This record gives sequence, structure tokens and C-alpha cells, in this order.
Amino acid sequence: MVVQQADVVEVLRDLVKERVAAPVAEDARLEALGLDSLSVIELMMAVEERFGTRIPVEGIGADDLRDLRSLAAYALRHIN
Amino acid sequence: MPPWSLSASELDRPLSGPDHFHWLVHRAMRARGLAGNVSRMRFDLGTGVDAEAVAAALRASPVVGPLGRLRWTVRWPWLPRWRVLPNAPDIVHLHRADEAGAWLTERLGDRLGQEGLLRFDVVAVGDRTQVLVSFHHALFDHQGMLNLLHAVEAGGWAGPTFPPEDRASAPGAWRDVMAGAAQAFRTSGPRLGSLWVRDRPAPAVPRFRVVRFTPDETRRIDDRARTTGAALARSAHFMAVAARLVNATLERRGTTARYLWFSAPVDQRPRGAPGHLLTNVTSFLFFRLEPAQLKDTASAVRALNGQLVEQVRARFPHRYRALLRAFRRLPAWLSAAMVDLPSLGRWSSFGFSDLGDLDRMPSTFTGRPIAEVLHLPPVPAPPGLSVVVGRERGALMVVLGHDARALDEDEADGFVSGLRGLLLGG
Repeated sequence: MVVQQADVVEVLRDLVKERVAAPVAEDARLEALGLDSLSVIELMMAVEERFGTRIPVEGIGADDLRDLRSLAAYALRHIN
Repeated sequence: MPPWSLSASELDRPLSGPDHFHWLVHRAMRARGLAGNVSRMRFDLGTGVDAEAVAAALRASPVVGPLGRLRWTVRWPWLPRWRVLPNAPDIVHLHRADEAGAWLTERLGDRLGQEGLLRFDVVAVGDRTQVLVSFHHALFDHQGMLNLLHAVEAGGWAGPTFPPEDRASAPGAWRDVMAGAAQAFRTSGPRLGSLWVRDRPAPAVPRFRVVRFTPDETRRIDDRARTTGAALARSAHFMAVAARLVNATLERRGTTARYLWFSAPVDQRPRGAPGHLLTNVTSFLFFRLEPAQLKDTASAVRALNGQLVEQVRARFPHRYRALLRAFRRLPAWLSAAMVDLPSLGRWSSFGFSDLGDLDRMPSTFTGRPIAEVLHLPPVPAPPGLSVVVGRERGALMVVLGHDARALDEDEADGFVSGLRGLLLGG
């Protein structure tokens, strides 16, 4: 089954919502959500577990860290 | 703002694992004649501010008074516990000084501990007023300190005073302790590159160098950081630069380090909320760099990124917290040795801390605008050299705290110019 970007965004949004205890928009900037590098690695680990794949977290670039959508796009490239 | 007080029942708890660790570091520092594990922040309130009025506002604060009565009590063989005294000396001190720098140097020798865990020194220097806030590291982590400043401004604290209790009996705790210890002790040892020179005389007070960058320079530095591969964690770039400068200092002394090893604290508070007021919720990450990885910044960043991801994947920050909790149960001589080894440069090459964006810092103090902030970390936070990075209003600031036994004045000058060179480039 091919995973869609919306599926990954939804998973990320739920995970972030648990951490910040507030609704999260998919274009909300990660920095503004108070997410640091540790949080991003933990988010990717949770996505790995959900979709049963390994994501090379070390390769995440600055553009991938803009918002949940760009982070989901990075994850998706390795899921499919 | 609801009133705030320290109730005896809420206080009836031992120092948490991270608090206890800071308490051990404090004892090790005191044993060496230093002031202790004390962090400081200095606020310049500019001109036209009445120092006496600032001191009076602090004394009237419903938060400052109770915190001034907070202490710990040690009754061996039980764990150190928090307690609040019915009465305690005033922790707000008013001064007049001719020169701010000399006055500050004098204050760096002031002791905190059973004398009080928090202290405010308000000084009139010419027509300027400055405030030095000194706090024991067992009392607050950095976020807690920012919460205190907000509480002073708001005249109270509506959030929780303490974090949820960190229970040592949590499931899997001993497995986590073993894994935390293995990570800490398999990666370092007495053969690491150390700046510590045993036969140099002990200094009376630590020395600080503050390197400030403009917002424009900060943008250039961030662009450079991205080109070295420090996208996931900007800190990796600063850690790499600091490690290369430590290595360069050792090379100038004619020493070739087998490897450098250092620790970096990580905030373990829940994200997105200010959280509680008192005590530390921190853990640590450990990094090791070999000579080949220190040749250029990009290689060092690549190695640090890999170690960061590996440790987070292994849940090391969580596991090390379990180790810090377990530390409290060790015999005193053993826990003292575990603090002494890094303090004397026999287990750790330097200490690094990234405070991140300080945008949560209030813009006023007792209602007066803050013109400038200076952060002064505890030194020697193991082992005689601390590199603390933070940014305010888009401007990067690096504070270098050093003990002359680790870095003398000439070497500190070299470190500062090297820092500017490596961060800004040619």
C-alpha cells in the first residue's frame, strides 16, 4: 500500500498535539511549536514504528525542518 | 495572579536525581575552595532607575521571600531533602560601586548553599542600575530560572511548583541505570584530551569571556552551520567549533589528544508549556570526537549528528535520568569520585550547553526595561571550561567560563579569537 503525505502529516500532527497539548496546524513552524532536535528525532522514531520502516534521520536538511508538512514529505520519501 | 507559597507538605520530598547531581557538583567545587555550583544572570536596567526602588520591589515580591527561606537538609544515610526555614536573612542586597566589572568580579566569589539558594544584588554604578541574580543550580534549571523571572514580574506563580515526582521504582529503572552507566563509562576514561593543569594555582574566582554577535553576523553563522551539515541540531555546529578550539589549545601545548569527550545537558521538560518553577528536569548527552573528526568542522558535525541520533534512538537521555536517580543511593565516596573525575579533567574535556532562544526572557525586571543580559554559568562546571551558547532577539552570544587551571588568560584570548574566526569564517 502506498502511503500518502496526508497520512504522515496526520500521524505527526497527533504526536505533536500530545507534546504541546494544543491543536497543531500542518504549516505551523516546528520552531514555534517548541520542537527541538531531540523532539524531531523522537517524532521520526514514532513514524518509523507506525509505518514499519527506517528513516535516515541524520539526513534531514534545513528545508525539511520548516513545518510538519515538509517533515512529513522527508519521511514519505523513505517510507515509499 | 494567584498567591504563591511553599507548603511544608509539597516540600516534603528528597532532591530529585538531577538536583542531587548538581548538589554533588556543588560539594566538589566547595571542596576545592570555589564558590559552588552557582549560575548567575546580570541585568543592566540602564540609567534613571532608582536602585533602592528595585531592591524594595524585590523584597515585596511574594515569590522572592519564600524562596529565600528554602534550603536542603542532609541527614545521612537518608537522601538530602528540601526544607523551608521559618525565618532567614534577607536575600536582596543593595550596593553602590565605582566600576561594574570590578564589582561583578568580587561578587563571583559570593557563596550560596546553606547561606541561601537564591540571592539578588542590586548595584548603582554611576547613573546606571544593574541587578545580579545568583541561584544555586540544584534549585532551578534554565527554564525554571526564566519562570522565576516571570513570577517576579507577575507578582506570583500560577503553574506547578515542582515537576511530577521522578520515582526511582519506575518499571525498567535498573535496566535504564545499567544502560546509562554503560554509555557514560564505555566512551570516556582517563586517556582523553584534558586541558586541566594540576600544578597551576587555584584561582579565587572564575573568569568569563562574553562573545556577542550582531543579528547580521548570527545569520551568517547560521548559514555556515547549515553548510557544515548542522541542520537537525544547530548546536552540533557550536559543539564542533568548541571542540576544535579545545584541540587547538592542546596542540599549542604540544599535546596530541587521543580523543575529546564532553557532555551537553538536555531539557527534559514537556514541550510547549512553561512547566514547573523549582528543581531541575535535565538529562545529558555525551559526545566523543577522535582526531580525524576534529580536522574540519563538517567532519566533527557529521560525527556529532550521528552520535546525537544514536543516543536519542537508544533513549539515552531518559536512561541517564534513571542513572541520576540511582546516583542518590550510592555510597558518598563513590558518588563523590564520579563527580570528581570529570571535575578534574580526568573524564571530560569540557562542558557545553546550548540555552537556545532566550525569547521567553521577560523584557522587564521589576517593571523596568532590561537593556542587556549577561549569563554567567557555574565554573568549573566539570572540568574547568564551560562553553554556553544562547541567542537573544536574533543575536548569538557565547559565554566562555574558565578556571585558570584549564585555560589561562592568553589561551582564553586565543579561544575567543579562534571562536570568532571559525564561526564567521574568513
